[in-house]
Amino acid sequence: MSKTITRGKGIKFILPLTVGSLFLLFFPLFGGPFYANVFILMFLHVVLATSYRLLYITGLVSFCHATFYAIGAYTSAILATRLGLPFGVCFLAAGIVPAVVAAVFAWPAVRARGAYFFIVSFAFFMVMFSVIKHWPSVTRGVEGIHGIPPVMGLTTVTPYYYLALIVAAVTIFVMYRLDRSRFGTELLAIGDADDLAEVIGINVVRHRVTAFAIGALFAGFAGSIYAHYIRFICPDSFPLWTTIYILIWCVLGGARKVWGPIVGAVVLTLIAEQLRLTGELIQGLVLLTGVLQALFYAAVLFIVIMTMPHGIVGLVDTLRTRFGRPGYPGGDTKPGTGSPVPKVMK
Amino acid sequence: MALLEVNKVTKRFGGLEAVKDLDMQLESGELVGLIGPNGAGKSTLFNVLSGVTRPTSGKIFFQGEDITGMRPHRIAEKGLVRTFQATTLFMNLSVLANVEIACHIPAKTNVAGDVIGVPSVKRRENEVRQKAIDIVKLAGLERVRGELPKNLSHGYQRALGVAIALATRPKLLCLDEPVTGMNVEETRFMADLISRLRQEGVTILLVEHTMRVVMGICDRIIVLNFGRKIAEGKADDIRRNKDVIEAYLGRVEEDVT
Repeated sequence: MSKTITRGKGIKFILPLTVGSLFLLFFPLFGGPFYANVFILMFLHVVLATSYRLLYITGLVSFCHATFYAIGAYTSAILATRLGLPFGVCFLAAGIVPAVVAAVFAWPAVRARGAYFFIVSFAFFMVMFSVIKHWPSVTRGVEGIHGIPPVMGLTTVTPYYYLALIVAAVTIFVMYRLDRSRFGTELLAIGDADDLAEVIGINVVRHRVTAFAIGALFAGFAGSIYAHYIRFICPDSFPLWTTIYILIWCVLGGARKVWGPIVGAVVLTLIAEQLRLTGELIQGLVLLTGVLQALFYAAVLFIVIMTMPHGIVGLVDTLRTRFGRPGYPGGDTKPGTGSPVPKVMK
Repeated sequence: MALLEVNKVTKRFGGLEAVKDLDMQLESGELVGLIGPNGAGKSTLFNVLSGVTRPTSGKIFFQGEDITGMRPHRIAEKGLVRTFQATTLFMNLSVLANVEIACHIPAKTNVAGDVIGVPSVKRRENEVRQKAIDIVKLAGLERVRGELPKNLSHGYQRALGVAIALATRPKLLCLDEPVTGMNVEETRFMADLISRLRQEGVTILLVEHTMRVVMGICDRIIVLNFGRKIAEGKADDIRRNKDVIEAYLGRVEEDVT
């Protein structure tokens, strides 16, 4: 955890962080059930987005993150309904199973690069989607799994709010620590130049597999909470759109920093849910809400790519750098005054 | 025992033989230049040596061990490290972080330890940092160590490429055109750096187009043309070699009047 490789962080983050935490901690007391529900989805989205980022920063765009969300949800639901296992066990299994599946898939898959990896991961999504749909003896096929037992018999929204909040907080903490670690920096380096990374002795394949599996682990945890909160899952609970949204959150927020995907997921989830609410209020628009959301996401993606290629957080960093605070790894290091610089290199 | 032994290596791309039946030996501590016209197979040879591509046939031994077809990171761990011709750098990490990243080979990454924040991990990072600072100084990058590589001049970028390779503590350093595109002063600095490394005992294989540099600092020069070795020897011999002159300047047609 050297300061050199990692980013400088001022104490001024502590105040907004405290205010934000307090707000989220007491939100259910005044927020009302509609927004509590929106916030639960938002927390799960934050988990999905930050876990997706881990592989994304190594330069591979995966199209199957929703698959691990789904596998987590199904694992949890099946264990709970068939074997009657307690939530804690289901939750852990919901992380481990997708992580193992991800590692097995990624071991050959990450050898493909660029568009090829994208295609392979898309194929994997399609295959797993079919498997879930057409394997009724295990997944109950298109009917989906009904009556997933609630966590400890709690059926109100508030406990799930805190559960999702805790999982999101732990995920962010782990991702933040990872990002500041040597492993995190190596992932960024692989994203910058994987050929160079390999030649200086970084096991690029193993790093990518590890990043992918850790991402799947947390996506699976989110899936478990989703399953026990909604208490019904079917193949269409985890459509293609889920991955597209995750990708858009990362692009909007900017993936170089842990905060990027979080910002992206929070902003877009709030706006999208608000759009849905508006659509429901205006009667004629009810049928259009899905279309509205999709259009909205498309517009956001288009504008972000055109105007701020490194996302919101990237934009903030650019502004900070302009005012003398580099926002990249190692940028906080002041050059020493010890050795004279050879004139020739000026 | 030679440090590096290349044994009848051939690399074919479809019908094109980029490297053909190449034999080559490098002794420990040597500084060997590898030259040849464009398309002679120099870069292909580098890719084969560093494990980026597999040779079609032939064997490569490093310190007596067969490294043919090993993955690049394994070869790097053995101590055979290359630089890249183009400005392939970690563009979004600072100069110092670029070098630090390469310092890690002896110390394995420990994901769990990183997350929890084990003290030994922290201590190791501090050692790595000190080592990186030393290398940054050696490569003349002290003044720009907090900058992003993409904002550096060409000369600095090349120097950083070498610094990254150096940070891995290589036994054999393969430099791919380290001074191409540099101005006179930058070139002199890089040539000095290469000579200094060599005095410190690093064996160097140097691919370069700038003849003045190659002729000036190399112990021995190997000339490739169309994937074959056409000459090998000291600078003076190479300069006078008929095949080499022909390869670079073209054949003197006897019957042209």
